[in-house]
Amino acid sequence: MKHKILGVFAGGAVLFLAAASLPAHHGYATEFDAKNCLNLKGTLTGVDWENPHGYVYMDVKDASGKVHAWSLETISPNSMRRANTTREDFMNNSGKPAAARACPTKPGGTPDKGTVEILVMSDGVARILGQNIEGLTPEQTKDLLPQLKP
Amino acid sequence: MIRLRETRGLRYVLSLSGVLTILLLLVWIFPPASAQEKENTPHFAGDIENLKPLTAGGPAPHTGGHPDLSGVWYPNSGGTEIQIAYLSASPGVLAAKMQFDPKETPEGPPSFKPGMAAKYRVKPGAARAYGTCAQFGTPATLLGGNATWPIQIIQTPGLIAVLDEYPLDYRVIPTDGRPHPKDPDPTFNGDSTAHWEGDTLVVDTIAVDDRVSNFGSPRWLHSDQEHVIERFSRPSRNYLIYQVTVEDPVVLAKPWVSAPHRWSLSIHKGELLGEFFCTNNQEPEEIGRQTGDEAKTEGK
Repeated sequence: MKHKILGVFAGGAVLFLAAASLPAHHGYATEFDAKNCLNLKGTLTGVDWENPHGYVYMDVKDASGKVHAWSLETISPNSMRRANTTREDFMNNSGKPAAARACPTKPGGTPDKGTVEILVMSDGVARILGQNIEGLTPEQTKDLLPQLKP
Repeated sequence: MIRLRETRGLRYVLSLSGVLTILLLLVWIFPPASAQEKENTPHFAGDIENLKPLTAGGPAPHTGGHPDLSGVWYPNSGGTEIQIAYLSASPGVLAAKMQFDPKETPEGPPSFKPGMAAKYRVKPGAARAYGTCAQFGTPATLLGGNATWPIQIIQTPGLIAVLDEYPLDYRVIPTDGRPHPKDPDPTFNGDSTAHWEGDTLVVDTIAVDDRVSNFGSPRWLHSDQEHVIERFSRPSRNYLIYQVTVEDPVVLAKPWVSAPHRWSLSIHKGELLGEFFCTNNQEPEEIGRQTGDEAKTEGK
């Protein structure tokens, strides 16, 4: 999802990131498909609260009514906790509706697996839990959020 | 009634309540920019949309006649962990994320001696893969290897400890004036000894393991003649400045000097570093491939 505004916003950030030369992040460049991210609505069923990535589990019904058990990769729980997303938040919202912006594996990869970029559990709080591999600008994120209602 | 103005032939007379009504109307129609932005910016867990650079915070504390570097420090200006994705929460987050402005203090590439680039420049894209929690060594850990995660500096008389959350690691740096041993065994963090020059702690490191690559653009390996000088200062309570010089008479035409990198004091009172072991790697093949790539330089 590339918009003209992306170039203007990202200029500073990209320059900074190139200068910092951050460690290569395993998996994201090769495993996940930043061009086909999608909105998921379903039920939160669990979380793996571990490093280097957490995993969020959601049951999502497709158009035919079949349930897909999605596994969604997150940033480190150390990071989530600092931004006020705790293991207790997942426990308290487990078994309840949730919505996620997710980027799936590339074609040929494991089905029903992806990264969770933004998660909204039944408490309604928007939580940024991914790496923004889509490259959403703040404007695009703002436009997306109303679609992520559990 | 307040007579506000009277000009040639015209009289403007307004009641006080009328003036107030007009002012309120104008503010309602054209609210101040900051109030308008705050209404429109969505809210995220952790209030990340409101991240901004810390103020200087007053003078740095001192111990034993020197600035005390102790504290939990984040590699940014915002005093907390700032994941790259948080930049999408609000345009304001970028200023909190930055450790230096490349336009003000550019950080250039290393200058290789003739023929050395092919031997020592690391293949683009290769890095110590995130999923292995592999350590980065000196000075790579503090120049980007630790990514978004904090460090804790514990300053005691005669010794400074630098604890790193990711990758989980520590360095102990004597400040008791001891010299380097004659021929230290190479280690990832190297053999360090430090002394104060005014308000700057100067850390001198040699004997860094061959496998450690330096962060920069591009990244590069080093000879056994590499000599790393790190400078730590604390210009005010909330900021630590970290700057690195890498000398390598075999590989580099001249020393490579980093920009001064800002670190900011944690806003989370009493925070302890989290434990970070990579116990749940789910992409072993990809990690293995990246680890293999890391050993390759351009010439291979």
